Amino acid sequence: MSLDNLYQQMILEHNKNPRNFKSVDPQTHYSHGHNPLCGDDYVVTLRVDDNGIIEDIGFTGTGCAISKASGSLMTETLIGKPIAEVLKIKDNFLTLVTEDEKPVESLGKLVVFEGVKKFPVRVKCAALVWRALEDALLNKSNDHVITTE
Amino acid sequence: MKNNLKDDFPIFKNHPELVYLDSTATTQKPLSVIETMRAFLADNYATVNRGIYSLSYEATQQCLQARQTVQSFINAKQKEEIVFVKGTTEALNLIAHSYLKPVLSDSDEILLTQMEHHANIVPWQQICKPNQLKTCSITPEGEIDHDDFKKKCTKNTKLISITHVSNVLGTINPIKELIKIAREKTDAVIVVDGAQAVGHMAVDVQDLDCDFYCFSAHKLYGPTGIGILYGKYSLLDSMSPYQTGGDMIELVSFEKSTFAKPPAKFEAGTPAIMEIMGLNECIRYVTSIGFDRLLEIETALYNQLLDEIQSISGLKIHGTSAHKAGILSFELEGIHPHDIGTIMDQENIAIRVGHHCAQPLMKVLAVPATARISLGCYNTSEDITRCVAALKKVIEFFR
Repeated sequence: MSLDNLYQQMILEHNKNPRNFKSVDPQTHYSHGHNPLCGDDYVVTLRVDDNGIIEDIGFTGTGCAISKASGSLMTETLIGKPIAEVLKIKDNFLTLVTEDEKPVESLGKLVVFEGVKKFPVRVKCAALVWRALEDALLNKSNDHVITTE
Repeated sequence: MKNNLKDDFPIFKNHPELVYLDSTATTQKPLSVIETMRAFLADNYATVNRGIYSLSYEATQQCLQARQTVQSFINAKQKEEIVFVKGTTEALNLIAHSYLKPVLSDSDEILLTQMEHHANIVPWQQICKPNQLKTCSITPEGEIDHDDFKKKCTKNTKLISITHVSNVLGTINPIKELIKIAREKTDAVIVVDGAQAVGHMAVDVQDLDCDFYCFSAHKLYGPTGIGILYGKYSLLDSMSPYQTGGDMIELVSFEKSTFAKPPAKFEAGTPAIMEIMGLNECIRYVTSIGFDRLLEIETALYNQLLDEIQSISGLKIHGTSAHKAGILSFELEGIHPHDIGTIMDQENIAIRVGHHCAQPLMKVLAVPATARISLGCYNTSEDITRCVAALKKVIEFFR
């Protein structure tokens, strides 16, 4: 498996210049995603309007190139979308990085993460911000702290 | 000097391209250790301590021999001071439960250092209150701060537990000197975590004057699942059992049981017989090479690594003490350790990235994680050259 497949140019570029690398203020939802074993640590914050549309979304924290680019491309993709569609994209993304079959719908730019599934130890890096997003929107944890380990 | 010890390790025949630089996590195994364990299972397997039939008698004799091998390896006064455990982690848990817990009072303090592995933090934490756990600071070079150590050795210090060699910084702590200081200022019982030391240097527990010393075979070119708790006999004798069951009793009735003397008192159940034989063989292997030669190999490689790695820009080394084992933790500016690890893996170079089971130390160093290169007796000059070349590739890729 070639490295270029894992670290696509777009991933490297988003790692260097992450978009929406900020805390949203005021915010309606947040979650703290942490992988204690590798030290990846991000907070995802959102402002959802009365119609259930993601008005703004940001992420802050530290981690590897895969996790940071994942946060950058996730927030870029989801701004302005309704929660129901966001959750569908989230499921499709997690299928893309974990399952052998392709997700049912096109993920646009997010397909750059397809190579991650060939590096099993790195899947959790790509998934971390998405799991935090899921937790922020669906209250998966009691205290809005999740890990993918 | 050509290092041909690599030929003793079958893994490098199976993976000729492998550059293994994670010996601090676990070492590879020489053929003689593998063969000793295989031969016992295939040709001579039987239980121990039930010596009615000859196979069992033979196995029992070999385990007894292993205990003596360990005794002389660390120069313990008597073989009854050598307890077989699963590894360093179990040894530390045993001391916490069987020695410290029954005697610990609220005014007592436990003294650790900032460079300890989780295995030398959590077992103590489980049996004391948070304010009873004191930690000695480290210097910017990654050495124990002697002034702070003196200050924190008080009449309330009940137990001191220190790593002999840091698994992150590589620092070889001056244990003998620290114990001297501690003995002058406290009545504390002193524990040494020797997990990272035994593969790199000769250890003499009587000379160190520690009360307990712990290590694992798998970091000494031996198998996993077996390790040693050394304890001064009077201490072991005063302690209650850790686990109870067969092999550790004298007499059992439904009303009560009486316990055997150390070390049997701490060895409930059928022991890890094959692993004990592997331990015996790995000590024989290491001793036959000799620590002088091991140190010579490791020092030459470490100096080469240090020399070649300096040419990499934006590289920061954590742990710059003059007294180090072959362990090098570092950061590359702007590149996360996990990305370093993945790219090195593509070049068949196995290094460790992460917090190395020392999260409190990562906090002190103010880093989320580091990358770590660690050496074993099988490493060669070519391994170092390939490792440094791969690090340069990492930089080309990300900068």
